[in-house]
Amino acid sequence: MKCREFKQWLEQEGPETVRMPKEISEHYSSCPHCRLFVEEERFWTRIFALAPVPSGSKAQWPKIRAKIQMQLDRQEVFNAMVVLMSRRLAPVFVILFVLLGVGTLWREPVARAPDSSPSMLGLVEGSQSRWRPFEEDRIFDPWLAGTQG
Amino acid sequence: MADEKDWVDRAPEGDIEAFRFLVERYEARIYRLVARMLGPEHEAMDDVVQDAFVKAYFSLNKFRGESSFGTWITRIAVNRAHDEIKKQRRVSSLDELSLDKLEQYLATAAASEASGAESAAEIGQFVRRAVAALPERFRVVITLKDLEGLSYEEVSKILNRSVGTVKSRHARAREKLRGLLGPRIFRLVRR
Repeated sequence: MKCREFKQWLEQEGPETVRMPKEISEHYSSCPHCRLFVEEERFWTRIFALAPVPSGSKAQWPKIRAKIQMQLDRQEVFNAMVVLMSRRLAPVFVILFVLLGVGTLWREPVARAPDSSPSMLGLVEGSQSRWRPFEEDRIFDPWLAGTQG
Repeated sequence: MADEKDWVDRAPEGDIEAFRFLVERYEARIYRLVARMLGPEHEAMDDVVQDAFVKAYFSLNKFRGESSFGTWITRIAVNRAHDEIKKQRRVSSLDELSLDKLEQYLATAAASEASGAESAAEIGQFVRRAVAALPERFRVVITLKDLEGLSYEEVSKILNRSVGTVKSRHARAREKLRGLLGPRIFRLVRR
């Protein structure tokens, strides 16, 4: 028998156990390491047996039940709101959204860019400093200098 | 009489009486565990115990039965107690407080020993205070393994750690506890 098996047996039976099967008993008497281990376990068992056991309150159920009911009620209110939203308010929001979209299109039809104002020109003329590249551009920079006179 | 698995199956279907059976079976154990983790005079003790069961009720549909209901509810209670300890630690250091109290107690107990009036109950209180003074990660292992008498496998499932980690933490916890108890307690227990 190995020490590991002995310890597993001891964990199941507890260190205060008196009856040891023959195989266990033989290992116990021949292994000083396991004898020390049993002594140690017995010592700790005695120590922990001295610690007082906290006695539990027996009236937990009514309070637990009340808390469960409170959460169930809260869930019910939430579910009712979700149902109200999905069945009543959601269609109203959809209709409102469609009406707003139609109204906006009616007042401002989709804009077309005027042919006389190319967007690139506006970009270059309007914000030269901001759009200037970090590196020298052999084609763009001379052209830009030319347009500025 | 229906067995525990039946009650666990019936409770999520709205059978509140089935859940009552489970609460009544485990409330003393959970109360004891929480009292040992937080200290028996902790003001939020009842709330922690109740919240653990309420959380269990609403999570029963996620309970897959890989461990027993007892192990599962213990895990929920340990987590809830851990949250409470964290919350309190934000206000003051629980471990430091416990150590201060232990030192005060040591002084009283030394006087008591000198007068030869130390009783088993007093030694018991001393052990309890020493366990309460352990850092939380050690206290929980000592509580589950030594005070509640659970196996390493059960403790590993509750703490969601490997058995090896639990064993090494348990050994370190006992080492720390030995340091806190000091040689005086060893003399008293061996005599």
